[in-house]
Amino acid sequence: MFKKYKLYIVGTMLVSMLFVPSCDLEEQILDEYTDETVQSDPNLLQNILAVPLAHLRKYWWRQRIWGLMETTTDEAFFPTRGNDWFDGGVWQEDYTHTWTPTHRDVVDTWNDLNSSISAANTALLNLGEEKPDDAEYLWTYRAQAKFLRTFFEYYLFDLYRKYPGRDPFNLDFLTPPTIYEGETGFYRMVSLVKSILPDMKDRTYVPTPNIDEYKKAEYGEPDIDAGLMLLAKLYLNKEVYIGVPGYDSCLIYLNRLMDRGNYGLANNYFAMFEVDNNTRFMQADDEAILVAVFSDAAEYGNDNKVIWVRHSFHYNQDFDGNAPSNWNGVATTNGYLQENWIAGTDTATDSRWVDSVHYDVFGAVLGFNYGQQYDVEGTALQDRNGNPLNYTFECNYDDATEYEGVRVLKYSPRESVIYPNLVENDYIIWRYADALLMQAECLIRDQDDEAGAFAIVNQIREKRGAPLLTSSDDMLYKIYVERALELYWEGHRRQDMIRFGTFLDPKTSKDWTSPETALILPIPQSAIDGTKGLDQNPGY
Amino acid sequence: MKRTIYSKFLAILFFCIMQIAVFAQEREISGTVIDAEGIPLPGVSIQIQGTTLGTITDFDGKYTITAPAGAVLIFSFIGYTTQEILVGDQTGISITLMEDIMELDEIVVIGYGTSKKSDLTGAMSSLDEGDLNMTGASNPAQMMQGRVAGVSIVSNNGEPGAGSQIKIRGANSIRSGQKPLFVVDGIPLDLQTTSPDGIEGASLGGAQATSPLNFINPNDIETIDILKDASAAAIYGSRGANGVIIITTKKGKEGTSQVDYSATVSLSQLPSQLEVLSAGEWVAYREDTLGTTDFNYGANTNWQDQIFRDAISHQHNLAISGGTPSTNYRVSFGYGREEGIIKKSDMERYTGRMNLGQKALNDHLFMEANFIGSYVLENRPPVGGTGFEGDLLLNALQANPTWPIYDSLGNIFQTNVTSERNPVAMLEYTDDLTKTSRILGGLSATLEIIEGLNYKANIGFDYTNANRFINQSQKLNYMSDRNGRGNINNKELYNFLIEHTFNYTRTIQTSKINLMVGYSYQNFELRGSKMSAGGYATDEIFYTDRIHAGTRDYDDVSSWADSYQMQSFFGRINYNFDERVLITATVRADGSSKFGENNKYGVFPSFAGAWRISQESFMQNATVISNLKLRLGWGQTGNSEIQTRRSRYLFAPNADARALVGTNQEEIIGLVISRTPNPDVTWESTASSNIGIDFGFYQGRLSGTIDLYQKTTKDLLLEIPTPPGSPTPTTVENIDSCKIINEGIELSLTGVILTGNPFSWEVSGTMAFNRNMVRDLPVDQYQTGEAQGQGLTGATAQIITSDEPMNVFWGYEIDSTVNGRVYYGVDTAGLWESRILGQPQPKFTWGLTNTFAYKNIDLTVFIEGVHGFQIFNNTALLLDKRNLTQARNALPDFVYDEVDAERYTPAVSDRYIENGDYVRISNITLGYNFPIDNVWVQRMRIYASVSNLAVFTKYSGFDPDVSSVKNKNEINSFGIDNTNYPKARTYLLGLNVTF
Repeated sequence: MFKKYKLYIVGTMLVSMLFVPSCDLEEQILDEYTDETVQSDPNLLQNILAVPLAHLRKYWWRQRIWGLMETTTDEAFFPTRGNDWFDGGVWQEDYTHTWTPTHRDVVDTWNDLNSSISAANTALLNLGEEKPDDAEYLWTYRAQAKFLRTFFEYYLFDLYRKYPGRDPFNLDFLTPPTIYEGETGFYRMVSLVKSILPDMKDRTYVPTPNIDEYKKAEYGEPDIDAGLMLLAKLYLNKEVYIGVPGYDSCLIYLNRLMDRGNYGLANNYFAMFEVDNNTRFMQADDEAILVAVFSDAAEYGNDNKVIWVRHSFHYNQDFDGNAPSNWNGVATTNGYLQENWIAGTDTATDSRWVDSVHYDVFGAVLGFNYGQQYDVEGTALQDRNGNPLNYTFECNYDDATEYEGVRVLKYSPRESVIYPNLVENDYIIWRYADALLMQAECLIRDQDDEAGAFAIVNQIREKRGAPLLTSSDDMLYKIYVERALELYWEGHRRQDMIRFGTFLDPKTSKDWTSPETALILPIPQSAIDGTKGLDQNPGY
Repeated sequence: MKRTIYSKFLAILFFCIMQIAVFAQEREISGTVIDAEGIPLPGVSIQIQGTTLGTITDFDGKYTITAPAGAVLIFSFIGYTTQEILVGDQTGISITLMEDIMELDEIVVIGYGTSKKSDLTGAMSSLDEGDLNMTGASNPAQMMQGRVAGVSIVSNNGEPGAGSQIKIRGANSIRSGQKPLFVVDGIPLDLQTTSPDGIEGASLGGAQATSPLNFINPNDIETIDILKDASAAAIYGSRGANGVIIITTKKGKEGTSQVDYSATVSLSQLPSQLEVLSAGEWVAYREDTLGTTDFNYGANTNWQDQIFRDAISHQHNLAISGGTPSTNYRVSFGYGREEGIIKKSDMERYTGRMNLGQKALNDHLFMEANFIGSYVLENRPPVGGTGFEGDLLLNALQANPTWPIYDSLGNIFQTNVTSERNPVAMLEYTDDLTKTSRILGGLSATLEIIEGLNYKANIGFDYTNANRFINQSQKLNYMSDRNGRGNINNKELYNFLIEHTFNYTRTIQTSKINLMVGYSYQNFELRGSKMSAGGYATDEIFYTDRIHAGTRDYDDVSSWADSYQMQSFFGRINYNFDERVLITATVRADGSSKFGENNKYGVFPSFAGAWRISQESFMQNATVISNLKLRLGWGQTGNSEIQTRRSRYLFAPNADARALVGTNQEEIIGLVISRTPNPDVTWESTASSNIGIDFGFYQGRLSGTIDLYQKTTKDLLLEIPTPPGSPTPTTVENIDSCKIINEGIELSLTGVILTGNPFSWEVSGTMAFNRNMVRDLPVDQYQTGEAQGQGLTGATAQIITSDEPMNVFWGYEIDSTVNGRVYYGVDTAGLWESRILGQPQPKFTWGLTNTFAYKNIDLTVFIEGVHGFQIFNNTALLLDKRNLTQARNALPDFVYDEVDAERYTPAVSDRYIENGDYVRISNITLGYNFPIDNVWVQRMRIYASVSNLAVFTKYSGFDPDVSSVKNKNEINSFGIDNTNYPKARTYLLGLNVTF
């Protein structure tokens, strides 16, 4: 019988052989890079390093660090305007300090900062295990990655008082890392930054041709100045963080920063925030110590996130047709304006209050926009219900009309703006005036040196056209006010109010004191769900 | 040209006639045997009772026989009820044979083979041509809707060719696909949607994908077999968890030769408009209650009149088929154009199909080739948007009713506020065309090696290329700032299959054994690309016809590519003891490149048994019970419909991660770790048990099936938060403790109430109860079902949480309304509290078909009901009374309630949760079969039908059969109505002719 069917059987076997593909089911990756390609190609290393650097841009808008630092204070808030800006209550929770562990921005900021830490760790991974005889450029790259990692850890620590410590060479991400907090967490960051200072880039470095260009910090790259400022920031807030003052150390690092002589107070206050502010790099009155570089070609300047015009101005205030669909959102509070601007300076002379340099083009001023608003032809604008568009000082956080609340513009769009979402201005994370005011504050807190602080504050007030202080009485409070005048909407207010003990106090249309636990944000519920050993902060 | 076609047609006809054998002998008794639909039945056996004398009918159902006057003729035919007729003094006996209701010997398609229905051990349902003949459906999913117990099909919307959410026995998965596996002529399809994406912004982003099954012409479908339980579906292993739907296309039949032509023409209408305020009411309310007379432009426009229309559709199908003992063939061509009830929406479809079978090597080798080619053009209106500005449909409802349609210059009226959109302008100035070509082909060879042992090799491929062209003119007020926008989005899908199976059948005395083993390999490749530009000088030509004509400022391009492979080994054994006891066992080992290193292969077993009690000797005298079968089954299936690249550590350039360095802002592309890898990632697994009874009483006059099932899905693939410092905040993980349980009862019943001539009446019904429950979710809840509306950025309407059905609605509950202000229920701390407000999965569904026949006239009425579920009416939320404060229109039900429009903040609340229960008269068809009295035409039928005649429901939206896809973070949403393209009512006339 076999013989009869031999042909069929052999034929069948042959055919089946032909069509059994060999397949090990190894996943073929078509449109991404594998770790083998990335780690074996030194040309790709700078692309890996670009990631944590680019992450510097991620945080300066309403739903990330900028939002948590500003909309939780008296300086900025998103009032619920009828139907608009309720957004599930997140803005009200921000303003009234009633966050929950599922608050959108509390969760997203935590997640993003953790991803940024991972991005820095990935750069370290791709730079390879540390060996004593590694080339010097490798140490500089490492210093840059480590600085950035600590920068993100610092913000996690500041907001949540906890941050993860991961070994860059351990790729088992599903095992929880060590969680750092308290003193251990504080000193880990401080000692790491101190250890990398010698390897950090330097904006003043003069490279030997073709040899050590890597050491020179280009604009937009963190350098040793940023390292010193980070240390100063950590020590400034040390008492808040771990209950032990660190103002003396803060002064040491601020002095080292000042001694480098790279900065001077800006001759024109708003010029610091203009579209071309990148060109101020290394000029005599440059204030920018650390910046996040935006280009209208790159994301974050281009996707409804960093949109200084759009998120604040009214729908009908269209910047001469250049910004046709604004969102009528964020404003500043009456309490902040009264305490600092009405009582603390002279708005007629203080150059920080209003600058009408672009008014003819946009119909809006830099600084504070209040009162009746006009278009560029001078026609008085109305809101959508036909009321005069008259930005009032008075404005409640939970029940505002379209026209209430004073609007703030610090980063001007370009005059030839074609689309208001494209933000070209580089965001200043830390600047010289901040460092000066920190110095003044530490002089008081550490040495009770009122005269020294008085001189520093008046140096700034003189530059800004504010009436000079006549006495050094109550100097600490005057520094607090000066910070509010100088650094408004720059992402420092929450830290300041906490350090000066005013964060929890009643403020405009919030007439109660928040509980002590509101000084620290809750750990997101999702993070607690996913991590054994990560405990919730008290009060949540 | 005309002449050639005509002569070809004649040649075809001639060919047909040639095949008709005519017996011209003269005998005493002659006649014709036809079926209930009037089709002549060839091959019917006619026997003189008590003798071995007999004959069979010819191709035309005609017979002649000599018989003595007192004889009784027995007419019998497989699948039909046998009839006995006393000859008497008749010389002409023509009879109608009724189909045997029990259909015991119907052949059904199971995975990798066929089976007699009586041999089945698993739970499955089959739809054949009779069930599928309901017309007007544009794809197989629509054909099945409401007809199969346990198969829930919810339309995404009423657009021509719209997709559906198909679920067999409830939802099994949170993140992975919930769709069943489709197998067309033996080729498992990839479940990817073939529609290229729409675009973000300007409201075309949310437009839902049309059905990926549109490439199949419903007229080419012979049967649809649905494998419902795991014991039936386990042969498809890691792709069987959601059930399997096997579509078999028509083939030529041996001994026939025919030309079929069918055509339909139909008229579709919107059943009823959604009532919004008229211009008069609108002005009056704003003046009286809001105290404003602004934004009154003086006209009185009903915007719904401007976008809806009476839609005319038609389709034509021509098929040539035939067969000899060694060859069979069927070639068909179809053309159809379906207009949507919204202007500028339509689907035009060209399909070609070929089936060829040829025996060779002395009938030891059987080769089969099949091929489907289709070209589908879809024009889509700008419906399905996400922004608060709204899509076409929302604007047709909310647009200011005092706006004129045209301004005084005759141009379409538009304000200069970009968030205010005139629906007529949206319609006029937007063009969105998708062209999809798809080829599905297969070649198989079956070789009989020795008697009973067959080897089959099968090669198949499936290739789709879809291109979408979207043009938004610069004349749109919301496009003026960028001077128009053109988008071209492309998608290419490819899948290649190789299969080898061995099949061995042997009968030993009363035992019959069938053994099948096989191997399969399937490779999938998917690619897509997008380009867009803006800043055009003119819209005189379509931007997408010269996309680079715009300025550089808005250029944007992207592309992606993905692939995965599957390799499987499978086997099945069937044991049949004396037709009384049936046992089936299957096993499949599936490997997939999607699975992590540590889990490349999964094994999926199943066991089932059946006891045909009616075959037992003790039942032989039971006259009432003609069929009784008890079935028991258990099996394990998987869901591998998960994303690729989940287990690998990979880098990708990311725009967010471009560093800008230097004062000239040089860009350095950053390579980001795409996701947190999990090398353990694998399929979800579903264990299911089934108990079923098939029964027939009174010779099949009453027959039916009852099934009880319980399905437990575990190893659910979930997005789990990663520990801090991971590359991404979440990663996917199979959580073995977390379960989704579906339990239910299904019942199908068919009763022949009246039989025979001239009047017959048959009733068939299906009923299904399903209960769905989530257990032990590793997190408190997952949110999904994105809500749309001002102030609702990021808000969701559904959660998935433990000890509740999937996708429960979640939001505030209105506690009271005092002085126009709405107060929601609060928690112990006094804050508004989100609560469970309902759930979208129907608890009970039923369908009822009544078929009446009188002589040549037949009438079919199909009614379906869906009960026990809620809908989140997001459309209503978008049309709440606050709109009146912003010069938009609103729903009268809200406008005249006590809530203060100026103080009301919309939130996801029970104000918008409604009961969705409905009963629908889905289809009524009246047909007439012409009596055949010439050799030219074998059969001719005309019919008229109405689809979606009436819906009885309390739901306030357009239609309760609705489910917008509002997935968030890839978690399935369900049961949300968000400005969906409404369902039409359709009147249809049809003609079928067979030559």
